[in-house]
Amino acid sequence: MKSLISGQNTLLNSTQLTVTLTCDIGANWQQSDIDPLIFLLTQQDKVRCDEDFIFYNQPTTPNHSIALKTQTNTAIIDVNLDLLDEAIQKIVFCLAIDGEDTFRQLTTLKLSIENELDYIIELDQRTEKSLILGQCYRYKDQWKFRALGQGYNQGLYPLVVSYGVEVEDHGDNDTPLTEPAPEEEKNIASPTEPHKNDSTTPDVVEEPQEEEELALNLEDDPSIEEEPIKEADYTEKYQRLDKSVLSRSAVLRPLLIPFKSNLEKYQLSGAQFHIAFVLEATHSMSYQFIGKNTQVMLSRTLLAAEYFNENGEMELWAFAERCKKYQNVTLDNQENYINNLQSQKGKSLFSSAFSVLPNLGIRNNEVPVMEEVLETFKDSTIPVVVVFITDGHITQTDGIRQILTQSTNYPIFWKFIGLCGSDYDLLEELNKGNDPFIHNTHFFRIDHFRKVSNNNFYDNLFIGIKDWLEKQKTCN
Amino acid sequence: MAVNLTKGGNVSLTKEAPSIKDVMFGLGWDARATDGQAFDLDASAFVVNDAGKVLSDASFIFFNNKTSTCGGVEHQGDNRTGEGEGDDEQILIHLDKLDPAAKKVVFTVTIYDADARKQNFGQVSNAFIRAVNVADNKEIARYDLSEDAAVETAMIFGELYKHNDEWKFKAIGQGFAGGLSALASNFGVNI
Repeated sequence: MKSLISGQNTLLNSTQLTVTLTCDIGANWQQSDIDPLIFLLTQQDKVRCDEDFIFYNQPTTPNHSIALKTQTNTAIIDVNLDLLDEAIQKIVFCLAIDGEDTFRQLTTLKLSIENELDYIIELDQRTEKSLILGQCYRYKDQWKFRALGQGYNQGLYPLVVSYGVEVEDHGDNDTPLTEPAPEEEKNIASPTEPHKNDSTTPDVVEEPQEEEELALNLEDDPSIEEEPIKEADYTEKYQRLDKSVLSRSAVLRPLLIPFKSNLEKYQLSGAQFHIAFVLEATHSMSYQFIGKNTQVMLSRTLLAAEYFNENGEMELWAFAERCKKYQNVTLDNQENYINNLQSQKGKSLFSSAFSVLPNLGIRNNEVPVMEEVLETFKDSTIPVVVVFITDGHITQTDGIRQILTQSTNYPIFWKFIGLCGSDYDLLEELNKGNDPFIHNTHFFRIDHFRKVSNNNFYDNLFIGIKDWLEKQKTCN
Repeated sequence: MAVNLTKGGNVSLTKEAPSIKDVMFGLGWDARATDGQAFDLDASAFVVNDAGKVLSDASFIFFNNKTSTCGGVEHQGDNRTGEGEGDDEQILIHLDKLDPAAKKVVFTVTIYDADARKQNFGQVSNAFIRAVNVADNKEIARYDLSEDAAVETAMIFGELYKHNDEWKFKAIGQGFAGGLSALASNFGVNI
């Protein structure tokens, strides 16, 4: 087995490779994550498309020429060089650190290719947060491997940019999508009370097309033409709402009628509760941020918070791997709220690359944010409805179930909204009402964002709340 | 005719470039994209006598001594990062201006401060050296340093040598340890 030094290259004996990256973390390691990344590069040292870039959220190429598996402090990459397109001249094996550490805080770092070579990377006095360990490359009709051990102090971002990965642009924007068939407005999730057994499974429809800028989807719902008949008691409340909106965030005006008409429908005009907002900001959500879908969801929910919350302010948490509570959303800051969140500079530039919001990481990790929300509101004297936006890919089923069960001891209702995602797991399951303990949740999914009008949104938002509020009263 | 040398390759051109008058020795490499100290490659030339030693200290042409006394060797300037397309450093040789005592001009390339910076040619992208016949702008030889001198920090690329009053080029491609000062000592320069 050949041992390489940095810069050295060697011929490979086989085209079927098992590449293993291993490291040992030192005593000073500050709990950063180390992520393996593999790039398939052309002659120009660039990726051609998103599929040429392998990491944990995309662990294989479409034809499995590359397959990544990760374990603690180890990554195993199976490589079949014969399956690579001719245009691909190099495969680069990299690591990026997400957190406060640099590679200097490791005690060992090694790349080995079974039956071929190994390469122990010097770590002395390193300052990098991302490293190119080595590359397989074509040389005169053969494959060779070159050991490198060079990288970037700023971590992931300069690494991916150097290979032509476009960080702002999500691949979906480029795909032409068919025009959805025009159809009547209908509820995506039919209004189902949480405790009945006849919930319908909504159809999964295509992602919205991106041909025009997704402007704030706040158009008036054409099916509602006049102010709904309201109980005399709430006229003043409605007027106050109208006045606030028109003077402080007039862009929300088209929401007023759909909001109020659903208040009437669900008899919530006089209800007393508080609304908070939790927003998933994992990598898979990035399209929702770019397409302004999250801003629309925020704006719609904020209107409800303006009506219900005592000072009109709505607490907001965002989460990916980590969670964070941000400044409260109000009528005054709501319009650019999401933009402002995204433009905050993160501490490490890992944030700029894939995480949608600085410093939160990339992956789903629902439990901590739910714990924080629980902690915040468990002593609330007013019932709290937590609007929780997620695109699914739920894996922490047990953890989430546990928190939901715990929160039945507190005045907290979880309104989960699935935003253009999948694998909603127990969130959807709980709608059936079969869980013996958990009756404080409701879930609806939005599969085709443009098809869900403001009216649909509020219709679904209010499902289950009145019943739950009434139960709260009787229990207290 | 360009010959891509592989390590240890040795090409002697007697027919292809029979009357070389002006030779350009070009050195190129990609500037470092990753973080860390820049790759500073240096082209040098030694005008040596029969015994393989420099005619005088002034016959060692490098970034601090750019022109030989006879005017036959001109170093075009030191590039410290590799920024720029094509050749990043060039040494121009006017063979008919060389001191009559000159029997060989040896071309070398070294990485500046390689040991302290822990650098070798393999870490540098697209590093090459070449010799060009200025008369027809044709490459006489080219060596891929990044690929074939990967673990080296210095190397002797080749030499122009006089044979029966005719100059010829011999490609060598031999690595050398110890950097430029060791190379210079080797050719009899007083350091």
